Amino acid sequence: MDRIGGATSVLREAFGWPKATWGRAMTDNPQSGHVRFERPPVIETVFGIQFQPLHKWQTPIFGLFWATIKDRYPSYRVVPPLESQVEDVDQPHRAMGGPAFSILPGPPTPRCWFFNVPETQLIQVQPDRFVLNWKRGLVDASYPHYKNIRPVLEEEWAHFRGFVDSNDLGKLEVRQCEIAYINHIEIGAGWKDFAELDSVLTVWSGGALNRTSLKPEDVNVGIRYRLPERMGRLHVLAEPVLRTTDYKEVLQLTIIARGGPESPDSENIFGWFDVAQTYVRESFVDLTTDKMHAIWGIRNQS
Amino acid sequence: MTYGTQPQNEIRSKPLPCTQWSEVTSFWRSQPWVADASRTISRISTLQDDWDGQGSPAPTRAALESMNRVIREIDAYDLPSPHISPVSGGGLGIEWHQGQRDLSIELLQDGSIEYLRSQTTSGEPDIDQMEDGVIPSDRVNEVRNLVRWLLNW
Repeated sequence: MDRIGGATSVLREAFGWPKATWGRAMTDNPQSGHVRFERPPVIETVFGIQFQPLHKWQTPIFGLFWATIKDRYPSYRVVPPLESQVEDVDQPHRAMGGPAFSILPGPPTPRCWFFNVPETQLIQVQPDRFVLNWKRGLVDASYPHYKNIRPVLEEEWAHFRGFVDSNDLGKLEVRQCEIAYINHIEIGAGWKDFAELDSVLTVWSGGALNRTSLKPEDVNVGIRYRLPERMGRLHVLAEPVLRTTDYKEVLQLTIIARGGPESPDSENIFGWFDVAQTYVRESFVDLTTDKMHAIWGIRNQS
Repeated sequence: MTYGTQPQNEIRSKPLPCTQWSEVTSFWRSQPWVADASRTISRISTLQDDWDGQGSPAPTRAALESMNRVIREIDAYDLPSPHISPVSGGGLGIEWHQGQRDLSIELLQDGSIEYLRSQTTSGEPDIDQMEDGVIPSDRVNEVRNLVRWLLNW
């Protein structure tokens, strides 16, 4: 618990939470004492756990696992596997995406998506990854706050662990956790184009070129922060995207915390998620302007 | 298709799989033509019935979804910017001109896909290279073959 404990002490100082109640506040009521929005722009949250590959997890295992969750996640899709992305806080960050070659003992095992009928909740599984996603459905679903998602994540992770154990698939050696909040900030509500992005993001000063009077047509912002106490990194990416559910162009603001818990036990894993979620949440408030906060219906909670 | 014969630039330019579930097209991580096409589709999706003054219905959701599927299938190819337009009856069209070759794909109001490819040789239409057809909705990947023909691979 040292690493998480160290990080929480930094957070405690940063956000002024009382020392005596810190631990309980994080586990019992992670939402206490922070900003909330009536209409937050978050459209998806992602909670991932990466572990050493389970070599016995071959393609037929997906079906066996699906049979245990099919009542809750009746639909599926086979998608390409995720690459390993492990934060090494002792090294400068290296961008993913360059050419990579590896010799595999056989064809790569895919990743499977299992999702519920309203398409609001998804479990992604591959031999080294367990991921739980929530997203807004086609019929507008209200945003479930972290305190409501956390028990679902705990329950599904426990179920997955139980499945791995009962099928003798190997030991789950957790390497890293990841939490991502994906926000869609609609053009036309408080800003009209990327020349006005400074109305949305506090970290962007406008980008206009005074000598030539040029204004940005598109903007892509990427920022990385090191999280304290070696708990990982925080990645921020703001980019224009076309949302294919309604063909609207929006600013997608993605905030990802990624790093390794001190040990693979559930207490440390979920302790990491609690702290990382706080960083993601508070960073969102810092990254976006008061003008947008007002549009999203800011409410300060005590 | 085997990866051994696949051009390297096609493999490299395909965005990496990610954990995000919501479907989006990134303007920065896609080929430039994909960004241009996405913006055009966004504008076309706002058209109302009688957009042409001739009583044509607005592009249907099925046609827009088919267009999205076609673009996703070929978004890794380095293509020139296409011409995209609504067509009467609630469909959409997308066309490329590459050298002496032209490829026109129409997404009909029910989402079905039709194509016409043509080529000129010495300034004259080359009848031997002209071909039209229908691509079944469960075989959208066949659009890749048309794009390979357009690029003369």
